[in-house]
Amino acid sequence: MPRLHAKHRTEIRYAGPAGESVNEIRLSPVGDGRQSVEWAHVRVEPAAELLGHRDAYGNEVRWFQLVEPHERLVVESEALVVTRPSAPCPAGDGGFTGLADPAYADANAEFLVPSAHVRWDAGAVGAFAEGLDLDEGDGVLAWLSGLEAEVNRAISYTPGVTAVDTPVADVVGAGRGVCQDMAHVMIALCRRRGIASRYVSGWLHLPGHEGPGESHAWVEAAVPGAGWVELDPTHPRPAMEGYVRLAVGRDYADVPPLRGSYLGPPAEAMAVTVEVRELPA
Amino acid sequence: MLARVAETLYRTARDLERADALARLLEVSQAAALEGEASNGAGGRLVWEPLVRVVADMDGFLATHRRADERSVPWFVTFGRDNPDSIAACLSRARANARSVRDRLPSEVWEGVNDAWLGLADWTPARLTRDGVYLFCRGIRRSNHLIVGLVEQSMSRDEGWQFMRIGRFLERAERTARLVQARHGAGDATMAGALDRHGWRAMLGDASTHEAYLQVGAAALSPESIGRFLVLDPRFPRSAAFCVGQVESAIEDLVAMDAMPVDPAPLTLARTARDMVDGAARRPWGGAEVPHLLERLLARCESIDAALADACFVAGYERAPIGQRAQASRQAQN
Amino acid sequence: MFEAPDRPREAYARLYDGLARLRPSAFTARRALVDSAYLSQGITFDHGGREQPFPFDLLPRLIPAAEWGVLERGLAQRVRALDRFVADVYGPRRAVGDGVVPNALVSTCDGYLRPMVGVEPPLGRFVHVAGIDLVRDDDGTWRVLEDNLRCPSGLSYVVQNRAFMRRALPEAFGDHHVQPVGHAPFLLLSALIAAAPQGRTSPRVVVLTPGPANAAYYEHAFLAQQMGVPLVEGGDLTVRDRTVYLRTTSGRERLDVIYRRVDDAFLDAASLRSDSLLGVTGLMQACREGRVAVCNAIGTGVADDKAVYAFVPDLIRYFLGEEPVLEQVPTYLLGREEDREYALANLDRLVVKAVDGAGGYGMLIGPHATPGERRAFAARVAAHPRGYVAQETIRLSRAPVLVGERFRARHVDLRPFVVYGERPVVVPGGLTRVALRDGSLVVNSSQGGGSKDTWVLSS
Repeated sequence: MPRLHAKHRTEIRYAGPAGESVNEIRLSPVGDGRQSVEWAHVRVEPAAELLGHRDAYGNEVRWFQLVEPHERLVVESEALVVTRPSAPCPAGDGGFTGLADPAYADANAEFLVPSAHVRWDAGAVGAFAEGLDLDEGDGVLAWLSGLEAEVNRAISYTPGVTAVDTPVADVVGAGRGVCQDMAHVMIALCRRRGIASRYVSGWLHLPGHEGPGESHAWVEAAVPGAGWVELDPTHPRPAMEGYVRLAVGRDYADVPPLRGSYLGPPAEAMAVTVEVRELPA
Repeated sequence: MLARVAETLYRTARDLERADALARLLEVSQAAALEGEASNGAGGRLVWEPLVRVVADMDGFLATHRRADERSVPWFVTFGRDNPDSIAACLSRARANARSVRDRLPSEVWEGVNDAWLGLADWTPARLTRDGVYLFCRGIRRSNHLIVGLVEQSMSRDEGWQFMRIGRFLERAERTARLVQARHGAGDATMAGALDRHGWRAMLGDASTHEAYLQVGAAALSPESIGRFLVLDPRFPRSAAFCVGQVESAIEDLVAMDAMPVDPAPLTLARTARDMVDGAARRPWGGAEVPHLLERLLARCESIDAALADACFVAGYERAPIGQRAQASRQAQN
Repeated sequence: MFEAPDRPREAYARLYDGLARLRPSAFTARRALVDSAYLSQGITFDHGGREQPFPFDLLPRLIPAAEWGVLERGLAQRVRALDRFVADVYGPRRAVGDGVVPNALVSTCDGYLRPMVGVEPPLGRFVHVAGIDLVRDDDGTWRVLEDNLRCPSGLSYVVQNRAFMRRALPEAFGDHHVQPVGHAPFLLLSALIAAAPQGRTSPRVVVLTPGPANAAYYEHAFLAQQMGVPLVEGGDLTVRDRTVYLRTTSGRERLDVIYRRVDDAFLDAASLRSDSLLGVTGLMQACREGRVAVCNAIGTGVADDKAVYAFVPDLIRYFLGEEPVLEQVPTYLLGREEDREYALANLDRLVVKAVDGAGGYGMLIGPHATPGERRAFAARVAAHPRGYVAQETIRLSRAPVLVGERFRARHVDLRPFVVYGERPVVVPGGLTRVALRDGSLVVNSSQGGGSKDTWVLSS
């Protein structure tokens, strides 16, 4: 059970003074079955009071307002989290028949329908789905594992070619993207198949990878009889004890690390650095 | 009072006054062009060009019209699409502005403004030529009388009324000063040739101004005495001095009702404007001092407008940079 | 002469007696008087991008006292239940937990705004004004057609239509005892004041409008003026210390209640739609901390969903323990497979509506549509079945309308307004909307419908 110390820093520089800025931060880990939070702090620069609440998905949110003109905004979140691997899944899940249960569709409705960044149709996404060779005979979990691998194979990890709002169809068509895109693609394919699926944002510790990284995105799917299971198309068959969960939602739009509105010129530069290291037990 | 509403009422009053002033000017020019040298082909030089210079910019006008005459200028002043301050444009703006604050205006005042604007739809260039500029201008003047009368009779003397008062009288002061300034030309106040006498007399404009002048300076009928009357008379409601006094008084009243910060910049500026005209009233009128006074007075009026914006309309403490934007997002990259 | 309205004759008999003394040309003259008064006063509705005077028909629509009594009780009951429902959706979720309403219905509803989860408005009240659309069908039964809780429009026309009627056709009032409606703005103001956060003496109320370009701007301005409160746009407000202030010429003034005529999702670009210029950034947090009351509260649109409408009778039973007083129109939820199959097989007989449609748009009137239009609509339904409901076509009752110099029958509906302060109060009558085209069933003002003055007779 690794003790992970994570530090996440976002710095935005504006092309001139910005003011009247109201923002929400989603960078505070919450304790649950997979992690315990020893401590967590968030700070901003210029300094501001941070008001906290839990949103509709149980994510920790910090709200703040900056009135005076400023040309630079820094948001920093630091935490010490003890992570655990995923709970083992029962052998033989409810299978695909479990998906047909109206109670499943009702309880998970919002994760079964298209959302802001997850849309699909018969075009690029449909063709891609048809082209996958996934066997339903071994149950939902196995199918999801297969999908995880297929998405990883089909989308080559390429920073800089996609944007925050690149549609799933475009990612599939170009075959390139980053973890956020791969997560959205996998969610689209799950939902298309009737498997409730949602987006997880967080921090990833890859042993052996030192040096600053970025924030990470992966997927959760509701498996009948097993509950929400975490998957990562960017790093298939993930060792979840390297993953710190920050927020969950239907897709990126529900969990951006920082969102808000201000008066002023556009941002000139935005830099995000994440450092995660394992501390001795 | 909401900053935006105060500004809107102020601008509405200015636009209504502007439309009225333009209508008067046009009417007088029309009459002047019918007689004397002006009717002998010199109308363009004596009447129409000067009118363009007073209400707009000559170069701008000549960019879209070949010359200033009895056809091009009236249309330019009334409905000209290339003229952002045509009478029609002023009334449209006033109506749109009044509509956006109609909850703060007595419904009769709003109706008056709306009816004036609706009436514009009945006029075409053909009708203007056929029925005459006079009929149109008289309609505009009467609409304005009705609106101002309704404002006087049915509005409480609250902040809204005061801001309209400032708008109306500041506009009127500027118009008058500009009119006299244009007549003065390059600065020689003694150019009182027969050529110009008609023009000076015409500057008195409509009948009521003429009659008021006759009460105080009939014998003279000289450019000096007419100019002095229009700029300095303390009692006639169209003189620049009277208007400046009203602006100062309105700002003082707003301060007294806590609608403006104590000792605001507009008040200081309005006081110095009044000192300017008071000082000029104590000295003999004429010579190079007149254009100098008018230039300073006009500059002062513009400063008052800018200072009002700073003090009340966009409150100083919230001088926010323009442009609302969503905070930047970045993909999860790993 | 007069065509027979689908109404008990006696209600109209006295009216006709009063009017019979007037010649048809007198009607035309009075009509012209009213039209020019509407134009002068700029009482308009934006139709196709241009301001048009709101078409108004001189003949009042009559509702006898006994009928009104039932409607009044039913409407008050319905609004109380809807308020409890919305509060439950963003609170304990008992209706979902107890299976009265499926979770899917709420969680996939466009009007369900997640920032409001766990947020309690002052006094726990979400609904302060509602416009419930009613129709009267062939056999005289009043039915609820739909609930409008987002920014229900029309209260200003109710008041103004009555004012114009008094001037244009005083003869018609004769010896009827018509219940007055002029106090409606005062009722609204009382409800808004009652909605203020507790502990605020003399609460400051404002009306928030998207601005003069909005189709219903006239109403925003009229109500603000009649209530004596400022009409504001987003730019006139600012949030400081999670409190909402008005930007005045002499500094900031705190306000307590916002009667907002801006759609929910546009109210705060920081927490809701980020592309909105109509709201106030920071408003959501001020609501979260209970420092301001927004009327109707953010998130009330969840009850506007036409799929929720189908469950309202059950919600009345669940939250109030009462039987519903008012009937509804049989409704099919096209998100449900059997309902969808039935509807698609019977499109020529049904009315199909988008669940979040407004203004009569996004609607198919089966019996009046061409086969091509029905096919196209069926495709839209198939693509997004949760987004549609179907209803049996109701033959709306008709009332006489002055067309030229003659009286013709046109379909009408009724939108009464319920103002919910301490308790729900229904403004007598409401807006009778008229489909001006012969045979048309579309009465919405945004599509060229007109209106009548509505008289509730006190026996």
